[in-house]
Amino acid sequence: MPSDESRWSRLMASAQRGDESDYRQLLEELSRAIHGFLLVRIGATHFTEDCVQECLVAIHCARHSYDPGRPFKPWLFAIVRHKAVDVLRRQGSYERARARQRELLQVAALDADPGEYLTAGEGQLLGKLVTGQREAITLTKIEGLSTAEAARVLNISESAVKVRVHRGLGRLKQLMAME
Amino acid sequence: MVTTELLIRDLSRDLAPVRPRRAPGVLALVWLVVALLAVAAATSFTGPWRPGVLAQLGAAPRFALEVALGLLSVSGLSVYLFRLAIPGRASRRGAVAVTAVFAMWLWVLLWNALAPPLAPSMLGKRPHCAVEVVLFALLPALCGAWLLLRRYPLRPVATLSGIVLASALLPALLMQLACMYDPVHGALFHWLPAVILSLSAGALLYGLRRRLWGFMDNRREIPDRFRSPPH
Repeated sequence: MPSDESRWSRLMASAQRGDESDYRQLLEELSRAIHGFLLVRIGATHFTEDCVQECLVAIHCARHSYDPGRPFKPWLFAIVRHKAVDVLRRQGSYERARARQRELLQVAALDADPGEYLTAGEGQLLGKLVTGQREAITLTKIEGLSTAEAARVLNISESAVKVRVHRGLGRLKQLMAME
Repeated sequence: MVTTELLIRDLSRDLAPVRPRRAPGVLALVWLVVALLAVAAATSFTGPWRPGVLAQLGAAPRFALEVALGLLSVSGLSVYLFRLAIPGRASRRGAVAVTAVFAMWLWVLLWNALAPPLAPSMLGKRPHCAVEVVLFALLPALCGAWLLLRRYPLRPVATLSGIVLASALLPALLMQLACMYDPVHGALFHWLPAVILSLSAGALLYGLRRRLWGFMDNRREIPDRFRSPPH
């Protein structure tokens, strides 16, 4: 049984000549190897499979750049490491966006018609509100303060809090409609 | 949700043969020689070389060393970039070697600026040397970028910015021989335009990085749903 290194090198050389079955075998073996690589280095995450797929696509795009006269693993794992870091970086942005969306949905859940907010975008919509409206919404809809408590925190009247919340929610609707 | 099995089936279906790319070092040197000849030809076409420049090279070893180290730096950078365009080929040792040669070159440049090996003179002054540096760099840069993108650079912005720098240093280096000799003039009208061009290209490429990846994926006939998302 040849080592992974020589077998993968041979299979890739064959794939470069257009052999579909060898290529399929290579990708199947690589997907398992990459999965193991990621499990060891990153741990079991919900995006591991996405990362494996991204690596396979990159391997496909880069297959012409492999020189069959050279070792296969340095070529392979250079791609895998790069893609893994790339997916992790994007995952950070994704998780932050999800957190913002959850925050927004909490606001929406307290509104009269939450269904209108359920398709909200993932951007920093609250951040686009003017400070007064954002503070009023955060205190009353996210922190759970009453109108009177929020009024004391903001040092304004209760009716002013109500106006800011009303206008802020209206602005949020507009922002969502624009996205 | 696309399963990995489905992805593998799609990728291996109707697999087109590809020609493996070999010997990035040789390709880099071919690019360098052709680029150098093209820049030299353009320099000759647009004006005369500084009178007595060959005698100056022989008479002032530090000036000859500056030119030689410049050529060595650009050669080393080119080879490193062509290796960088192939996954897993560029080594840390290579990066250290290129950096060391560059550092030596910069040190000699600084030394020559503080204590010029030749008497500064207006002899051979070219009126548009700064513009020529930029213009003469464009064709080698475009050819180099095209060659690099035909590999698979995992860091396309850095790789392409590097080839723009190498391309810009070539005419700047030759302009040291063709235009007047004066360290201040050289710094402002030969080296500075090369650096500005490289930094501008880097900024532009950074802005276009999503398109770069899109280009690298699209031309490989990847089904839409498997294309890499923007980086």
